[in-house]
Parts: sequence; structure tokens; C-alpha cells
Amino acid sequence: MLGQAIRRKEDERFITGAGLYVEDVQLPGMLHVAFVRSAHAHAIIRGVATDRARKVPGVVAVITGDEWPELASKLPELNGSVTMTSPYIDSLNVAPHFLFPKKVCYVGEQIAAVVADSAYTAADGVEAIEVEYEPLPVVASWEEAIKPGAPRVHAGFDNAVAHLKHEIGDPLAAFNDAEIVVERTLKTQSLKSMAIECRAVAAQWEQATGTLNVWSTCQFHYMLRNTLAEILNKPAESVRVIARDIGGGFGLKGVLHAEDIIVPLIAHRLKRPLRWAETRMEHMTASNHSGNQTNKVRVAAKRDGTILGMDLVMHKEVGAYDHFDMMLQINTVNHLTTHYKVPNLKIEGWAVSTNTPPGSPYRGAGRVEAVFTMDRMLDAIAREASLDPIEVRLKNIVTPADMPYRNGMVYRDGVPVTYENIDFPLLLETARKRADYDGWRQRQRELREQGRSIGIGVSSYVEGGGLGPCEGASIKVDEIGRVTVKVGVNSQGQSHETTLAQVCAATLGVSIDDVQVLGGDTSLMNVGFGTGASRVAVNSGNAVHKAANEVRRKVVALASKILGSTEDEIEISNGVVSVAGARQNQMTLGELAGRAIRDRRMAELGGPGLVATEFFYPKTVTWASGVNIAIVEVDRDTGKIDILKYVFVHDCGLPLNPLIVDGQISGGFAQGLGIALGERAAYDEEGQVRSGSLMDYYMPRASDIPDLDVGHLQFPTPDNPLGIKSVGESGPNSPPAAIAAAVEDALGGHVQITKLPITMSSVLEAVRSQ
Amino acid sequence: MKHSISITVNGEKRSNEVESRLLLVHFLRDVLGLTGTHVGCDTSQCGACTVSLSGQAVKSCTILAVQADGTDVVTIEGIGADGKLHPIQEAFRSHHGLQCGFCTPGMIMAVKQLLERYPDPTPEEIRHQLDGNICRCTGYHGIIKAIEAAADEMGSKPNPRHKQTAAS
Amino acid sequence: MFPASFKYHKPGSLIEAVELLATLGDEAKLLAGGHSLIPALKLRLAQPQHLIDLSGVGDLNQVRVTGNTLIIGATTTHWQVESSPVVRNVLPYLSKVAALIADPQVRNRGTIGGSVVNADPAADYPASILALNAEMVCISRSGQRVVEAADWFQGLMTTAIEESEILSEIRIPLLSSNSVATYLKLPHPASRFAVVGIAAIATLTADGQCADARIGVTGVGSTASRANHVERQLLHQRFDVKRIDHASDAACEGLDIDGDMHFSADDKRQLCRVYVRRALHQLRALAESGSFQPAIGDVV
Repeated sequence: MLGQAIRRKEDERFITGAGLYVEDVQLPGMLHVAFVRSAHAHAIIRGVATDRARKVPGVVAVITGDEWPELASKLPELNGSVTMTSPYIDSLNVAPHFLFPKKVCYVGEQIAAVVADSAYTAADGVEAIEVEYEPLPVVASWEEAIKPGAPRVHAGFDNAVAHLKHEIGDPLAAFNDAEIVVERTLKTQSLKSMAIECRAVAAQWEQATGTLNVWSTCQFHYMLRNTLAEILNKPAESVRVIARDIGGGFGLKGVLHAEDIIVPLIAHRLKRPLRWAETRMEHMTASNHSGNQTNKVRVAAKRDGTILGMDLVMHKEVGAYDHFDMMLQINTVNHLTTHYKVPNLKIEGWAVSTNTPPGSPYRGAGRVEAVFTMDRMLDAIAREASLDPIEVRLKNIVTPADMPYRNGMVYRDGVPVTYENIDFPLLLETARKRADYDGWRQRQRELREQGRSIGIGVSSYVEGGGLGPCEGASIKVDEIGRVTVKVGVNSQGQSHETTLAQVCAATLGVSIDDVQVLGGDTSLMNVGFGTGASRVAVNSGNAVHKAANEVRRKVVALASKILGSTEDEIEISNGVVSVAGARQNQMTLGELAGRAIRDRRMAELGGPGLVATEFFYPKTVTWASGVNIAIVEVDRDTGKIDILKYVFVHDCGLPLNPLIVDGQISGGFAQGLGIALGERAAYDEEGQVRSGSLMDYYMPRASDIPDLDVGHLQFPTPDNPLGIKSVGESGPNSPPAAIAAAVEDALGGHVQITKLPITMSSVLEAVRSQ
Repeated sequence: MKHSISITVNGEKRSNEVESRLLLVHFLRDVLGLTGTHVGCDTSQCGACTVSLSGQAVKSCTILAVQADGTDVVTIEGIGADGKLHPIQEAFRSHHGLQCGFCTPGMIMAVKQLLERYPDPTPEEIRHQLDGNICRCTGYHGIIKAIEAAADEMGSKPNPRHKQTAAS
Repeated sequence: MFPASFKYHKPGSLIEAVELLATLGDEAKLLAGGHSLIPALKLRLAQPQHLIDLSGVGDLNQVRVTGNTLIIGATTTHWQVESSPVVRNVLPYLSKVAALIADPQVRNRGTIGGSVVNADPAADYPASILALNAEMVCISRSGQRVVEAADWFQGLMTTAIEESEILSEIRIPLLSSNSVATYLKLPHPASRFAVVGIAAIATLTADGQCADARIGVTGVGSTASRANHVERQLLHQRFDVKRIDHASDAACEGLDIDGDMHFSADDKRQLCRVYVRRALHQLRALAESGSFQPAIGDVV
């Protein structure tokens, strides 16, 4: 059961069109919301003329920020819901973020809401509203924002809103001892998660029960519940957030946006069901983005390639409002050294506000930036020392003999980063063999003679995943033997209804067909966090395991009494409870569940029924890892990059379902490929979005995707009973670095690829510069 | 201005008064309640809204409902027959051709046309015929496997080129 | 996105359509496949008072051959051109061009007339319209007007069509049996429009001379245009590698090439030269393998 490639239980509704995404929620009398959005990246709102809009046929209400007191509320400051500590940060001073600000700080920021009888008439209403702006000077990049005297995004707040530093060993001495010093300025682009479903929220005030029902695309539905309850000064349980079928998340939906709060507040006041579904254009303009990052890096090394030390200075754009302190940069720091030893390290970083939408994570969440930095620097050493890139890696690699290995970092849960039971050299060797690395080196030389530009790139990643604090699971066996598992997380496609059912079925001894998993609804569990940071398999998976074991304990205790055996003799298989060696002495789990409701002996077993609720608190994150090797051909005349072969070797501990692990790797790889080759959220100097639709924002399609040769290794973690590690954010981390290395290699090592994405245009420019 | 239109949707004749500006996708979703067809972009790139119109795969977000007057429309809700899944639907499930499921209805409707036009498609034909559909979750590998399996199933002779590992 | 309100008209004949257009004037827009217009309506970039849907005008949706001319009705979809047995027989080149436009769903709806009238600078058809020396037939109340391809594309999304006119058909002179033709396109990674698209047609004499060369270029400038300088350098010369390489260097001469957020003007100039060169090399390879366009008179 565990570890088997079982097809997904959730698929039936999706392949028949029966999924219920937020935009599919239709309620009697439902009205539609549309937002008036700022045309300027920075301006004081002098006035909003709404009279004409109120007369537009179909328009029911026009709401501005001064309509009701609750609309003067702020968004919660720290949105990174599972962030618990912020190591390394020594200064943080972020401006408050109001639902309806009096001064807009990015293009697309919400100014007013129109409620109408259809999405069409709501759009008519928006068009009829005139906003009077007093434009202010704009800073749209970190480079502009940190210049002395630069305009401030928020009066009274520095544009550099946060700062971190961290030091390991004696970096100064390392650079003094260096035989080689390499230096690069590495730039990674801002991205949008680009789930195919844009954001949406529907809300209904249920007068009879005094409940505000909210359907949301938010990855962290409890955060939304708690925020709404707090603003409305109601008990948390009077707000129910349903976030069940969500069309992809990848980080952008992991943060509260103003609309998530405004729409339920309006529904509560108007006592009419409402729905707002973001259009793609709104998404491209106003939804969060991940922010450009520049890493200025110096590495000290010996001539044989041994790294002595590293000096890293990071600047990260966090947009108009910073809700994540420096989470993404902390992730970059904690994933920076990947598989390698960097004994002396100095890191400094700034989070810089700009007049662009707020920053938020995108799958990988700082890891792509880490991997790109480490691998580009290893390649720089290789080039400087005339060594093969793999040789340099082997020189610095952390080996099993070094385990448990501490690299000197501290994770966001406050626990020192520790690698245990991972064989990095084996990952590298496996990838090298699968890719036929040595064979390709040979072919590369031969084909170069024929004028063809072949390149090979290697990249290694680690993925700290399964961040706590905890998740719970509540399991109940009913009187016909059906098992229901309730969890505090929701799914944006991660297959929880299958993998968590597998855990339950395997632990309890029932058929997976008899297990249903319910999640994505705050009424199911009192406490939950949500889906992000690759945390569900580890947290919820182990919680389900724990709860199923507890139910099992009750089954064994009660059944032994009813069947007159010892506890050790009780067996549970396929939903039947029996006494070992006495086949006729058995009953179904359903019968037992029925008995367990009335049987007084349950008083000593925690109360009536075969039920249990358990929480799993991970000790710290688990460390998944992998090695990618890309072999590319570059067309020097057109800048086109063809991927000839791509090898992806990884470890995620014990896979719950290999089919789903493959899907996570394949999907994450495709996103990494997009990051490597073209995805980019771009803003001009005035803060206007340049990537305003899918006409300009590249996302890989089927014809862009090469075959993927995936190699699975298994290094189970000793830190949880199931030995599972995360996999969700493994995919995208290495493709940008591997492809950058391969392209640089293909171009003969005469140019440096230091910037993502590696577009055809950037290759052409590199070729021209040779 | 309202127009009387009559469209056969999933075999059933539906007559309604609609505004001229109503897009076909909103007619299907909001008027008929067939919410399996999704909207993912504004510019006809993503293909989540793909339905079959008079036998052809089209992007229903770029067609007015009035333009579809008198046509025969099939959506994801109508692709199966007699309560059974269509072989393409089965194949998507068996080969993990979906994750979040949002692009899936449009993807399946596009694949239906693909296999009508290319009953025994090469991998290149599959990839290029999917140019009108974007999936953000799967990285397409599961989708391509599903299409190969569906082609085999519908053509009832497995192509030795296809190497599949279906889930149990 | 949601269009603003408009009145919808669906004339049943060309005469009716022309009358409607004359009556409604510039408050009306013609709707063919709608795959440029409807996105513009949704984004409210276009807000016409009236839409005149041409799908009821059956005359506009036919493909036929008269003498040496292939006649394609304006509302013929890209898929119809791609799959039409007539086009595949007499001008297979054009079927292949159609198959490279956008994606299958868009090809099922988008029309050749819409593409040619919309004149998007990155659309595929315009390059071929120019290289094929096609003629556009425009109908208005005052009758019929035929515009040659060379006079058609006038600037950014501007053509020779008048506001009162409807493009009814495109007339394409068939190629001679010693012609080779290819369309080479670099699709934009996101939009799938042409970053550069080269429609190249050459007529070669038995001894390998270039008797005629026509090269249409799309994607790089504000409108499609002919690479006249390249054509001139090829004319009456041996169609060999050296000549092709030399002539291709002139690909950008006379073209007004702009950069955009994805490709700089330098990139586009280079891509234009490279794609012209590669297209011409393809023509040479086609000629060497005997893959000429069908002879006139081979019509089914």
C-alpha cells in the first residue's frame, strides 16, 4: 500500500468536470465583485468619483475604503504563516498594509470595489469610475530604491525594509589564504507562480447560524479564517473557510491578498452572496510576484578547487509591502551550500521595497537563487582552475563519513541545519552515469569540430521541507467500516486524498477504497496551517500515521476483549479484525466500530467510537536532495537552446506513491525549465507591468519539454516514523543552474551566464560579445 | 440587446435569451451551470476553456454565445457515454495526467480532437497538437503518456513505441 | 475579462453585410473568426457599438481554383486551409503555413481574411501574401476593388482596405512547376506569434539559375514587407550556397526593425538574416530533392 503507484482518488471529479473550484461556486442571488485598480505605481488618491458607476445598469453597490470601519483594517503583517523564527535578521521595519490605502504603491492596487449582478456589469461599473490621482515619483527596482535620496515607497520607512547577516568561521582569513578568488554578480528574475486558476473568493453570510462562509483559493485557509474573525471581532468558528479544489498554488496563493479579505467583508455587510474571480490580466498586474534578486558573490579557493570561503551580498525586491520579512533570503542562505562544504562564510542581505506588487514565494522560494549561486560559483572555480566541474564538486562534497553534518546554518524553526543519512556522492555518481557524462564530454569535442556547440551542466540541490510547527489528523471508522480522515491542510493538486489515504489504509489495515480524506475546510479541524513549504507529506502524513495507530490501538484493545483473545493475537486486514490462528473468530471493523460507540469499556480507551485525533510535530525540516545534469546544444545563430538530454536524480526518502513523486518531479522540473529559459515578471521604470498577459509571460508548453530521465534514490530520514521527506519543491531548483552551466559550456567558456532567464536574446547578446 | 439562441449542449437542446456580449464559456458555466469548462487567461493561450463546437476543439472564451447559435457543443461533462468514462478520461487517471485538475477538462477536449485528427500520433505530433493548452502542474509527461495510452485504447492496438506504466 | 455591450448582427449575404456596414459606418466592426477582435473586446481595447458577424455569409467560406488562381474566401479558417484537399493539391506550401499558425484551437476559428485585414505585425499569413503576390478582393456598395499584395500592408495594423469595404476573397496565383517554397518561422515562446517569419519562394531554371525570388518577412517590423534587396541579389544568379549566404546579408536592408521587451533590434536583425538564409537554403534543398510545388494544370 505505502510506496505503491496507486491512481488518484481525487481524479474522478476532475476528469469529469465535477471539481468545485471557487469560481464554480454558484449561490442563489449571488452578486459579482470587480475592483477599480490603480493606473499608477505611486500616487495619492485625491478622489474617487462613483456616481456614474452607481447608475450603471446592474450595479448594486460601489464600495470605497471609508464605507464601513472594518474596511480601514490592515492585512496581517507577517503572512508567512509557518515561519516561526527569523534567524540572521537584525533589522526589520515594514510599513502597514491597508485594505484600501489612501496612497497607492503599485499599479493594480485596489482602490474601490463594484458589486453588480454579473461580472460583465461589474466591469461596466469599474469602467464608469473616475479616480483622481496625484502621481508621486516611482522606484521600480532595488537598484533605484537604495540610491541616496531615492523616493520612498512609504513615507517614514526606509526602502531597505530589512537586513540580515550571518557569519561562519573566519571568512577574512579564508580570503587571505586563497590561491584563487572568483567573483560574480548573479541575477535571478522575478516570477509569478502562474497557476492556471487565478485567485478567487466567494462569500456568503449565513444568517441562521451566524456564520460567514468563505470559499477561497488561499493555500493557508486558517490564516484567512483567523484574520476575518479578528477583523469582525467574532469567534474564529463563526468564519468557515472552504478551500477544497484549488487550481494550482505554488506559493502565490499562500499569502493573503486584500481581495481575500475585502470580498467576505462586503458579503457580511450586504448580506448577499458574492464572488470575485481574478482575471488573468489582474493576476499579471496586481497579484504578488517573487521579486528580482541580485547576489554579489566572491569565493576563495585553493588551486585544486577546494573552497576556503565565500562572501555573499544579496539584494531582494519585496515589492510595495513585505509580508514575509526575509523568508526567501533566509531560504537562500539555508540552502546555499547544497552538497558542499563552505567552511568560512560571510553573508549580508537587504530586503528592498519597490513600487511593484507585494513579494511572495514561488515554488522553490529562494532555493533556486541558492542553487544558482552555489553551482555558478563552483563552475567559476572549475574554469579558473582549469578543472572539470565534477572534479571541483567532488573536491568539496559532503560525504557519508561527514554525517551528521552541520553546515553552520540555522533553519527558520530555529534548529541548526543538519544533514543525516544522505549520500551526496552517490547522487552525483548516479547522475553522472545516467547522463553518460564522460561519453558526452567526448562527443562534445567531436561535435565542436563540426561547428556544433554542445554544453554540459551539473547542478545539485537540497530541499529543506516539511516545516512545522505541526499538522493534525482526525480519523473515524464508521459502522459500515468506512474510514474518514480529516486534515487541516488543503490541496492545490498535491494528491493528498490519495497519499494520506494510503498512509491510513496501510497503518490501519483497511482497503484504500474504504478511506476518504477530507481537507481544505476549517470546519473539519480546529487547528491547521496549510499547504506550502513542501510540508504536507511530512506533517500531515505522519499525523495520519499517528492517528491511525491510535485507532488501531483501540481496535486491538476492544477486539481482544470482545473476541476473547490477547491483544497480541489480534490482526486487522482488509477491514476485518480477527484472532490469529482462529479464522472464524472475527468481526468486521464496521461491526467493531458500532460496538465501540456503546461499549462501556471504551471509557478507558478515550471515549466512544473508533476515533482518534493526533498531531505530528516534526523535530525540524527534512532534507531531500538531488543532482541534475543537462546536455544542451546552442544554436549560435539564433540563440536557441535545445535540451538534448536531461537527467534528474533525486532522493525524497521513502516515496508514499511513486507515481505522484514522478508527477511532482516532472512538474517542478517544467517550472524550473521555465525559470531557466524565459519566465519573467517585468516592470518598467514607471512600475508598469511589461509582462501583462500570457502573450508576454512565457510558460513552458508540451512542445518545450524534453524527455526527463529520472533516477530515484532513497535515503529515509530518521526524524519521522514513515521515513518520508518532502518532494514538492525539489523540481525547480536545479534546472536553471544546470542549463546555465550547459549554455556557458556550449559557448566555449568565453562568456559568463550570470543572469536568469537565459533567453534567446541573452544568448545572442553573449555570442555577439565574444 | 438580447438574442434568442439555441445550442445543442451535450446532446440536449438549450434555448436561451442572451446578451450579445456573453462569451460562450460564461453561457456554459453561468447560464447552464456546466462549470467543468474553465477560464485560465484572457488571451486565448491557456486552453482551459476548450470545448468541442460542431466537432472542432475551440476556445470558448474567444467565442460569443450568439456565434454558437445553432451549433452542437460538447463539454467535458458530455464526453463520456452511458455513464462510462471516455477512454481519454480513463487514461488521464491511469497515467497521472493531472494534478490540480484545472486545465484538465480543456486538455481532454483538445486531446479528443488530437486523436481524431492523429489516431496514431507520434510524440512530436502530440506535443505540437497540445500547443493550445498549458498545464502548470504536471510538466506534461503524464499527459503525453495518457494520450499514448488513449490512442492505443481507442485504436485497440498498442503501439510498440509506447512504453507505459499505468497505476493500479 | 468581459466585453462592453454592443449590438450583434448576422447578415445572411454579402450584399446584406455590405449594406449594414455602410449604414453603421465606423461604429461597426466586422467579426470573422474573432481571435484578434474578441480578445480586444474582452480587454475593452475595442468597444464598437455594432458587430457584424460574417459567419452567415456562405460565399466567403470557400476554396476554389479558377484557371491559374487559387481563390480562398475571407472567412476560410486556418484549419480549412491546412486541411483543404484543394490547397494541398495546388499549393501545399500554403497548407503548411496555415499549420504553423498559433495552435489547433485557434486555427479552427481564425480566418485568413481576418489575419490579412488585421495585419498584426507578427502574424504569419502576411509574409506569404506578399511572397505569393496575392490579390485582395474588397467589396463595398460601390462594387469590387482588387488590391495587390504590394499595396496592401501600409503600416502597423493598417491595410489598404476602406472602412466601407469587406474583404471577400484572396486570389493567389499558382506557382510554376519549377518553383520551390517554404515558410520558416521562429515562434515567440509565449504568444506563438512569429518573432520572425520568412516566406520564401524561388523559381529556378533548369540550369540552376534563380528566375524569380520573392521573400516575405513578418515579425520584425511594424508590418510585413518584402526583402527586396535579397531578392534582387538572387535574381538571374546561380542559386548556390555562396550566393545565398551573400544575398542573405542584405535581409534587413530597407526594413524598419524595432526591438521589443523580448528581442532587441540587434537580435531581430540577426534573426532576420539567419532565417532568410536558412529559408533560402531550404529552398535549395527542396530543389535538389525535386520537391517543387505542383505544376499549374495538375489541378484536381
